Amino acid sequence: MKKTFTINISGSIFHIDDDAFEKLQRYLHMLNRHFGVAEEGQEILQDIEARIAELFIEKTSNKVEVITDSMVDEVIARMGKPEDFMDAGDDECSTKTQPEGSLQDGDQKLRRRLYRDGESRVLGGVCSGMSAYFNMDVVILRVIFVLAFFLYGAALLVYIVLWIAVPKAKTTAQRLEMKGKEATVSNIQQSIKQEMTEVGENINRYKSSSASDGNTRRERFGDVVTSVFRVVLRVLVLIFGAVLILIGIGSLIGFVTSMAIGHSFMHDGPWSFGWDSNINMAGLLQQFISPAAYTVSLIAISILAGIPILLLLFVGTKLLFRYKTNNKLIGLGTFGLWLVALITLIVIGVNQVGNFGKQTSQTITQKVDCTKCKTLYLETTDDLYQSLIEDHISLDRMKIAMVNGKEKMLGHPQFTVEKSSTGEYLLLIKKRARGSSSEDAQKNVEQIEYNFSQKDSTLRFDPYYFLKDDAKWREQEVSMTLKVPEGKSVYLNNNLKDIIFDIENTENMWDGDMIGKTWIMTANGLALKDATLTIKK
Amino acid sequence: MNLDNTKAQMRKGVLEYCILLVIDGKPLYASDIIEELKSSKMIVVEGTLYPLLTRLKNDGLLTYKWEESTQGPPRKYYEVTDDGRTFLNEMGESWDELVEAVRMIKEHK
Repeated sequence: MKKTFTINISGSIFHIDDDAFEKLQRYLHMLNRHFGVAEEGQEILQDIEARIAELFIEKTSNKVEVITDSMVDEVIARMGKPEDFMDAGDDECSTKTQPEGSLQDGDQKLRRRLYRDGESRVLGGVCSGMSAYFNMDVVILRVIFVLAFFLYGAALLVYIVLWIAVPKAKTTAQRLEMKGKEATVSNIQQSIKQEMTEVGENINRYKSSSASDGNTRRERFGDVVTSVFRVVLRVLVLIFGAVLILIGIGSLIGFVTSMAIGHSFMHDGPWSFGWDSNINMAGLLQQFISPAAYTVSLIAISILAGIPILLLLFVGTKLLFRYKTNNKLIGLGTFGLWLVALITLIVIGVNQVGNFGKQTSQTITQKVDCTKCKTLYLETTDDLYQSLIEDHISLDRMKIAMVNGKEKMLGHPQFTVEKSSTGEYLLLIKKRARGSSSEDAQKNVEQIEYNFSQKDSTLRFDPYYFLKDDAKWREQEVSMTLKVPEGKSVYLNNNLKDIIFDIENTENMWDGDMIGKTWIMTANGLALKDATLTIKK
Repeated sequence: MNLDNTKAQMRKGVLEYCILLVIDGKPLYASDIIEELKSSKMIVVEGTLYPLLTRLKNDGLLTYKWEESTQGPPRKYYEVTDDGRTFLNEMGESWDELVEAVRMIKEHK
């Protein structure tokens, strides 16, 4: 009893014995190495495969259905080994395409290469090719890819890059390579060991070659040096490839999370791995880029940062898995795309600057109705947002808070105290914003929401001003000035610390020290009401 | 001197000419050409033919078209191009000269 494989040679289906399959595989691999990977070589190989298929069809037409070892032997004898081919062409060419020891290599099983499998494909055959390479069920890979498509759009990009980059298995030899010996660590080790033995052989040959023949001796010495060099190079290339892949995967994770999940993007740059923030890149952009440019700029940023990362992964996998690609096309294509993304971002950036061109402000003056009271008590309402604010992101004076999963823009107003020229307390609220024109700036001013309230002799300020939902950040600011008439006092509650700003006083005291005290407006300016109290302290 | 090697070298020299001769006249596909060359003992292993066919095609002396086959996949049918025919005529002349030269040398002995 024997195990049988079903194989496809040049479009015809055959059943083939286990050992016959091995033999045929070795033979085709040998031919593949002989004719080389150039277009001409592959065409010759396809023709030869067509002939082999024809011979098998002849042999299997009567009763016998399975191709046996002896049939393969017969066919190989008929077709001949590369060294039997009479090559009428220039001999240089044939020696070049037939590397030394191709027969030796033919004796081991083929090393596996990554190809796209065009015959069991759904789209580009990327998954089926990968399933052959990694010995995984193709269904699992497809499910992973489809899920990834929905979770991150970037997965689609990865698929397309692989589709372009990984060659399709065209000839039977390539299809066999696709399922060849696994590129496991032990196999890589083995291949390096093999090359090491080669080094040893070369050294021995060098030693055994007598000094009488100077030329051969020199050549042998050259062999030794090149083979040592090749082993060292191969190890270095493998290490380098692995490092590239690791860096690539790391950056990809960092980048995707910054785009989709969010971390301290503005603060530490896209390569940091901080997870302390809930806001994502997309949400941040939405706060100040107009909707039309928003999607485009997101895509452009993805391409700009994504392409170098994907190139890292591409080069890394290529070094490790050794698949053949059209490097020039990929290089030029990706560079072009990258350049387009860069230009797009610059154009958007220039446009955005235009949105900040004009500034306008709006001042509301409010009389504080407290003619009888001697002292006005100032305080803020409770700060409900402190814990919701993203510490790492600030747009000038404004911050972003996540409120019920939605970004809300808020900022502390600035509060100061001046002398009133009239006999009354007056509160001036000034709202400022920028825009592409004065009208636009005015519209942006109107996006500001700010509240305060008065109860008897107490003024209660909100600690924050907000932007209405869907408003864009245009450097909106709120500043308040309380005009205090001479002879009247104000008490600054401790909780004002976040909003008071540069209040001039006769004591030359810092803002932070002014809170918790009562101040009286004198002819010279604001003075501490109970001076003796502080001196005692 | 190795007799087999010399024989092989001689055959090698005229193989391309023979392939063109075989194909000249009617379109043929690889297996037909192989039959012909094998029966006249020009080639030993079939693998020899394919690199030559591809090279002659790339040099513009041959061309091919795909034709459906009753058994199995479509086949490449090769034809001699005009360039190929010119080449064939010139080669024919020099072959005749060569044969004549050998004959004369033999007779003069």
